[in-house]
Amino acid sequence: MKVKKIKIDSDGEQLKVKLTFIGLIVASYEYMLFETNSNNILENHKGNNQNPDDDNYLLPLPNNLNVGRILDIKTNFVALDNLKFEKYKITAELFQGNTKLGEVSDDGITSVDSQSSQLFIIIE
Amino acid sequence: MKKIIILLLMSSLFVEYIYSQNNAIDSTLIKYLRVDYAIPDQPAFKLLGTNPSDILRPSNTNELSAISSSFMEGSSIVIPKSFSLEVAPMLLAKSNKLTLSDYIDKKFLYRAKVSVGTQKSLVDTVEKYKIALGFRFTLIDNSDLKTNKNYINQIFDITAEKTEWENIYKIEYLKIVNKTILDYIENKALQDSVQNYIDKKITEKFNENYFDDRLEKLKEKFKQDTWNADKWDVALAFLTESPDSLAKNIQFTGVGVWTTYAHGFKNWGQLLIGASYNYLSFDSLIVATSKIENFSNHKLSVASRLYFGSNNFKGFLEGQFDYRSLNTSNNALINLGTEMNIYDGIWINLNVGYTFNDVFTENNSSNLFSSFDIRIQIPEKLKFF
Repeated sequence: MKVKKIKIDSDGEQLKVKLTFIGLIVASYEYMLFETNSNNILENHKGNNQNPDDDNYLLPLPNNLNVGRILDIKTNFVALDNLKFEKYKITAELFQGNTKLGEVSDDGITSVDSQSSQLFIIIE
Repeated sequence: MKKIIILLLMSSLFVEYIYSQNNAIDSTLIKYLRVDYAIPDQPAFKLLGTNPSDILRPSNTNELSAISSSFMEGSSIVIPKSFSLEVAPMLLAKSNKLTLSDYIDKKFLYRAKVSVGTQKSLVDTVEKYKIALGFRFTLIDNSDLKTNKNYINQIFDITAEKTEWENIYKIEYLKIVNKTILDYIENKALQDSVQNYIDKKITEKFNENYFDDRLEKLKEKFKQDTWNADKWDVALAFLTESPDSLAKNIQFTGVGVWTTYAHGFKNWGQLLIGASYNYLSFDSLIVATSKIENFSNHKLSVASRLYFGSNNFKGFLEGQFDYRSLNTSNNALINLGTEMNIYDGIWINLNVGYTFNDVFTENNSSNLFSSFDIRIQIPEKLKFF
């Protein structure tokens, strides 16, 4: 599990999360935005690493309501054939307009077993 | 040559050690997507002339494989005199930055392979070293998992379902113990409790290792369905020769070009149809003049080979016809053999056949030949971490 607290500008442009998956892996993920101090899920998207263009998500407006909310990106993946020593890296980047505010990533070596990754961004 | 052999043997022992260690540690080893197909011929190895068959079997998707042959001298087992290694350089070089979509977009480049082969031979009591460099390009490979949409989509379905259930049970448990997702992030004991709850609920709802077992079954099905999938390779290799092991004395002596198309029949067979052109130049001592003269030979051949059986154990039958310019001869070959996966990552090829020389003249003759190769690739079950 990897956690990162990222500060946003409440008066800035709309927030956007971009997910990237490096490595020859087949990965399915679930992206959830949790309400502040709650288990209520405000947004829930499911996706995979087949097409990198559809792994971007806009956070709701206004920006100041996102302070305290938590982004949870849970991924299960398996490595592709005969690549024994390959690195993988799953990254969630938080942007405000074109400015990258920060990122959280999980990396490691692929295994013959199925693997999972959990990334959290706590918005401040 | 000796260094290469020692390196190969040490690598094999190391792989074996790691494999045995991991088997002991992880009894529930799961090997979803690595498939142990037969190791193909390598262009560099082929051009060394270790086997009279000219058909070049299309490649599989492995990034590294090795072939060694000539283990027998009479009835004795000896250190092999031929060795060849094939790698997929782009795949090895870029794999740490590669994404699935990159691979699919540029599969031609990532499937390209380079092979290097060496052979020590005795010619007229003089030891000579042959070194071959080969390049292989795969135009069609329906066995490549990384580009098999149907298979990848099934993996997506399983991993997506697993992710969904894990999240459902994670939130369910947090609600039961009246904790929030922030508590979960900050409390290691809570994380462990959540994981235990997820494992327990998934086992209750489905069974233990439900998702892993589905992935394993899917892989097995894929392996059986695609060992004989359609493939098309083209390859090129250059041969050099040196009177000693010094690189400065290397001379260009030959070139080979191959193309082979493989077509599968249901799950029992595969037909290979291939053509090749080889050019070889060599010096020979002419007894009558006591002079060394240079000769060259152009060889054109067409061949077909039928495999039948299963992925791990199959037989083959082959026919070949060739024309050689040196003696303007037309020649044929029949060859039959077997290919066995004796251990994870280790294959044995045994074959025996007849070559028929000058088949259209009265001076025709025939020769029996046989060969025994051991082919090694990174084991399917290998787990380093």
